[in-house]
Amino acid sequence: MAFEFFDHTGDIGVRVSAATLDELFADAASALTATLVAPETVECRAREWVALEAPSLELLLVDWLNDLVFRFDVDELLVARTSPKVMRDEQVWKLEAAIEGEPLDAARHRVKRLIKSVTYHQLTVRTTDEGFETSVVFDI
Amino acid sequence: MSNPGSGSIALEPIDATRWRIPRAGAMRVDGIVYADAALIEEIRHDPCLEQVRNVAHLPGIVSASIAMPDIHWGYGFPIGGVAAMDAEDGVISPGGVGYDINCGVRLLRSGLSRTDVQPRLREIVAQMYRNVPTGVGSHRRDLKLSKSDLRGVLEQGAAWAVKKGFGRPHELECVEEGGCLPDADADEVSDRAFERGHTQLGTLGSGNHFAELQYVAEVYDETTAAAFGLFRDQVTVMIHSGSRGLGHQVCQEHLRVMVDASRKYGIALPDRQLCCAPIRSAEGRAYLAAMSAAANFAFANRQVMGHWVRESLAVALGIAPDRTGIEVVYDVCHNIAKFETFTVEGRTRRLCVHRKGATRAYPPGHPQTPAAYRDVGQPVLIPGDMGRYSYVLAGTDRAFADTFGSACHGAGRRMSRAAAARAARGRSLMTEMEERGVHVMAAGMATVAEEMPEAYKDVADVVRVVHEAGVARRVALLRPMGVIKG
Repeated sequence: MAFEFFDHTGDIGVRVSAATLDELFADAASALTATLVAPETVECRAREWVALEAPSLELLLVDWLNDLVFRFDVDELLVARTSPKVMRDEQVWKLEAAIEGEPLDAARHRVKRLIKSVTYHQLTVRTTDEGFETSVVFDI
Repeated sequence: MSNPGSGSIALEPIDATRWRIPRAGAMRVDGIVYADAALIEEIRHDPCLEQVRNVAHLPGIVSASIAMPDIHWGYGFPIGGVAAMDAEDGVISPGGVGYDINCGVRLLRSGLSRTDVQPRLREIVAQMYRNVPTGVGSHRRDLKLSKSDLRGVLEQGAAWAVKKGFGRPHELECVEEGGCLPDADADEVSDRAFERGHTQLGTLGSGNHFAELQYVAEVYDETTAAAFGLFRDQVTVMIHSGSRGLGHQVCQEHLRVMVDASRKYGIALPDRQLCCAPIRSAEGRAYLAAMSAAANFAFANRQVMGHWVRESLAVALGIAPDRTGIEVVYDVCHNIAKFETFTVEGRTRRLCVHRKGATRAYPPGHPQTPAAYRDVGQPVLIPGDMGRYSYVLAGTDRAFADTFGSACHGAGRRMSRAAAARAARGRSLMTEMEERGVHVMAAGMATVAEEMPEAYKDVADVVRVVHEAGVARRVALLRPMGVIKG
């Protein structure tokens, strides 16, 4: 698996590793979906676009995931698949992404728990021999 | 759990219920941990002590970085911590409040006894579950907020809800700060926070939030219980909830600002999550205004839900709401930062008191202790897990002198969510709860598993310490009869 959950006191932590930053951000989004619902129940029925920028890669990652938390809280959007493009533009990190998913359908989606926010807890994006890895904690 | 311990933190015993982390290095004050010998052995192995020590580094912190006996590891600031900052020279930090701004507890008493409600218990819980939205996307169609309505909520708090017919004006006397923080400014709340908040007023949320039907099982202090309007076998309802998505959005956005602000103002931080800004800075004032607005949302939230709980009991019992005798005992914040006045080393000082997983516990005689309780002290509401018990305590002079008028807030988890989910496999938790005499209705079974009673520490151990320390006095013990959860 591209991500694995770990125990963190009263909340949920996830470790993500990937060959590229684009995949890292996509897998982190998948982990967020898997925290909310069984991911295989989410279909690609709608597409939205996200564009973000942040002064660091870690802040960009938190902003990205918090954007998905926002969309779930406001529009009940569950995300099945994302295709983020992460790039550096001088002093700024940027992300553009298509996100595909569908609104929550109580008949098909059993919500396991709600996420209050993505935290900065022990947040780093590290380079590894295989690519990149990060760990993120969701405040439940 | 993947938490490293705090084994390297020096701890000196002060007395049977207090320990000192001596000021050293860049710490500006000592750390003071409220715990007995048994609890300190658990706490030693939790990285929260390092966090208590880290908080002591913050500019403007006064007297001590204080830890209550339910202290455990949080984000930057520990949960169960109290830090008071000088209003002129100190800093304000979103991490010292938490993501769920003004998560807190409201306790309702009634004129009903356990025997009155036991025969209709399932109907009462079903009505509560129907009338109080829980879980994702759940909200009542009869409460729709325009942007202008939401501005009113953010600036008037519980009073807005009363004006709209959710409860009665006299109930505001029994809400901390009268249910409204004066520094709120809806203009400092972002459009995104508005979007999250406008459908969530009057919703419980999920996780460890609940509305619980209870009865008074034990009375430890007859005089104080009588002043609080409590008697043995009386039916009560406890509501635990906060500012929902609006508050989470406010915290998240201002944490982001504070990361830069800490650098801008040259504030050296042992942990990035302690990010902060001077209270008097633009960033500090903006957070205070937005946080106060979110706190007001939470006050209004509990006011609305309290009103629906009263209606639920009335409908289930087939009586008029007035005949339930439901009144507010008190409503407390346990994630907040606000200005309060204390005497420190003989000098009156205005301080910004951060309580993150800690409850105000004001003494008898204080002007902010409601008139009806002025002789006995402010009610302090301490929820336990859904299988055992919760407590009502009273604030004391000792708390006012030693802990900036603060006490603990709950039990704290002893099992991670994953461990609780594993422990729940193959078990019928609802049946187990019924066998304990507790009828549970929940929007999600995963939440029930993660919130099972054995996932939590025994709140009696925490309450015993604050009682023996003289910080809050035990008044009554409440046992659950029915619970709704998101």
